[in-house]
Amino acid sequence: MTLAGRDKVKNIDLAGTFAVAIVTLLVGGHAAAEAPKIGDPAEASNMRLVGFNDLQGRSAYQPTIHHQGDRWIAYIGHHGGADAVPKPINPLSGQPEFNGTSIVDVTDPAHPLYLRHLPGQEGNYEAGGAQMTRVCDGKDLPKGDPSAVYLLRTFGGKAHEIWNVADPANPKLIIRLEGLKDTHKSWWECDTGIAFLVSGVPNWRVRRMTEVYDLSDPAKPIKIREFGLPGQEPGSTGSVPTELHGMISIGPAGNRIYFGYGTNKGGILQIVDRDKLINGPKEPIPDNLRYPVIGQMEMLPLNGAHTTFPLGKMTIPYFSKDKYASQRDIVMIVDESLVNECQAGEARQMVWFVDATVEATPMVIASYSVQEENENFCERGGRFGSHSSNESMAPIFYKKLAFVTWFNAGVRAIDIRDPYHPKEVGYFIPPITAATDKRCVKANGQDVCKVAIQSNNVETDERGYIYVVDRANTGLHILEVTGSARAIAGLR
Amino acid sequence: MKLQGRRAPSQGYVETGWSSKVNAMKLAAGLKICGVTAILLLVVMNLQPVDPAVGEQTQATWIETKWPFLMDQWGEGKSFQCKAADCGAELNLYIRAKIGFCSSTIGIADDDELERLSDFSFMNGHAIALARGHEIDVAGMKGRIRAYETVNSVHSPTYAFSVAFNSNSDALVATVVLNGKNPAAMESVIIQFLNGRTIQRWVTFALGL
Repeated sequence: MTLAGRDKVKNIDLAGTFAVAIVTLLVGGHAAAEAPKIGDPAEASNMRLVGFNDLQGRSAYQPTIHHQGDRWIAYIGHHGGADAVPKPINPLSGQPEFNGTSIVDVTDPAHPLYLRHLPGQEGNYEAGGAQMTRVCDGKDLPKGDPSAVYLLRTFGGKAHEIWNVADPANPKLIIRLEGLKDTHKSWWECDTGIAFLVSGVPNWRVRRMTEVYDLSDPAKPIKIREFGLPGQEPGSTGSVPTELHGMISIGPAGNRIYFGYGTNKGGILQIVDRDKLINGPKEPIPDNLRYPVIGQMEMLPLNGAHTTFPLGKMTIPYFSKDKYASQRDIVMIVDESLVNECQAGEARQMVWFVDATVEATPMVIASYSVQEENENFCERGGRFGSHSSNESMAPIFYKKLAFVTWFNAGVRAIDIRDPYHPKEVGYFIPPITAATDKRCVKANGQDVCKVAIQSNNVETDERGYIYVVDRANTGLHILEVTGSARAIAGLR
Repeated sequence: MKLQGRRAPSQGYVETGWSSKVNAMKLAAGLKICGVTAILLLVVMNLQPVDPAVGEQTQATWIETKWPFLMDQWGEGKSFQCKAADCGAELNLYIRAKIGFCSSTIGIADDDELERLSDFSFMNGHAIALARGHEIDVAGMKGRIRAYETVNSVHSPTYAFSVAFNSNSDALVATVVLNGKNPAAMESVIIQFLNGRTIQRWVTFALGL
């Protein structure tokens, strides 16, 4: 029986576990140890493919799904091109274009319609493209044009850009903020217009730190301040603390921002008073950088903090009879794996659940990781490990299911209703295609390459669809949960 | 004890300016013939003898030592020592790989990037840069080196170097602590050792090249 056969078996709700055990014994390790092949079907449990778009064969990073009038539009950021194809052809224009932003109409998720490719910065892989996307309606922004829809994106590492995408097939550039060393995954509050931009301001000692902007009128950005860890600011000396990856704000009502520093090492979760950050003393000196910080947790240095997703106050089933502290404030941290095939230089990257009820001293209380045993993900090719989670706080999945990309292990659905005991309830590993790019490791000085899926980022929409994009150029997979996972979300 | 070309009694082996004992013997013979001529030339030219640590073909003998630091996110690297008698001042060099921590496009472009990569905690105190860093080439890999004075409340000021070079997105970061004076004279000794076979073999292993 082939790998494909085994996965088909896993995908069907078998009558009993005995059959699964037999199948696993017959084909388990040997078949799975091979890199996937074109024609192999998806591997799935409690998740189903609804629709697909190849995104013009571009390496994809952050998808943002925006309900725009009566349409649903996906704005998908891209890494730069690949060595083999640094400037892929845009079939809509017939022209080669540096990777930028794909704009896809996903109103009918079974038939996504590619609307427009907005070229990004020249450069391959992390050196080019336009990785990040956030979208706000002008009618929500305090000083926005009510008829406009604004796309905030990065332009490679050099700049942030704001586009009017009211007509998503014909975006109009509004403004560019440039002169930066690097950019990455920013956050934009649509109700206030305050943006926390991951930037690399010259003279700061890291490539990525925070610029706080008032983008309530996107055409007239107002810079509020710069922010980072003490020791990163201009003029400091000695060790440079771990650089920023990104942040998530819960807005003025919650008055907290959760910053994540580090990708696969030296991770730090920082809980910041939003009001103090915006309105406090702004000169970038250590005292001012410490002033808005409420709590900070240094993770095991072998792991990073790529995504710090606040889950808010959760009633813990485990503590339901407790008269005190049965409700806890939870943050989910997702590390990012950077290294192919579990090679040297990196420990296993995974998901951590943090109890931040006492904000000054948050603590990890649980973890989740994909089982590598019997599946041989370390030998399948490319990266194996966590990367990012959905960031939508729409009620359909929030505090119930989290979706986390795991590179060659696809996307994983985690039941987080009891964050002290998270458990996997589904997964989907897309099949590779002719567009899927290789990933290599060195052996005896030679490149040994395999082609494997590299599920990179994931987002959900209010309808309950899950959007997974691939770093190795495979495209966009639109999924839905099925079976017991669907029941957890309360979906029929 | 000179450990030229031999295994050190405790661990590792020794990197010298020459690769083998045979070469050393040949050179010694050559030196006997040339020695008188060289001395005469020095006298005639009124030059000071070249610091043995500074000459291109130094007899710098580096001994691998036990990694002295606690585990952190970058794990253990390699640790080497060169005695004052061999290098002109005692040098302790600590090197390790930082996989995926460097920009493959700009490399170690400036001192900010060098310092972001640096292991200042390996230095004996607070590090104060002596001057701007400058570019270096280590076995075909571009990098940067910068010298520091290190100050703490216990010891008198001493010196250290931070060195980093990269292969694509992987950085190799060396910290060199100098017990002695004249850090400027030590730079070429350090670069020569980093270019040597011991380090390059390890780089090949560490980066899977």
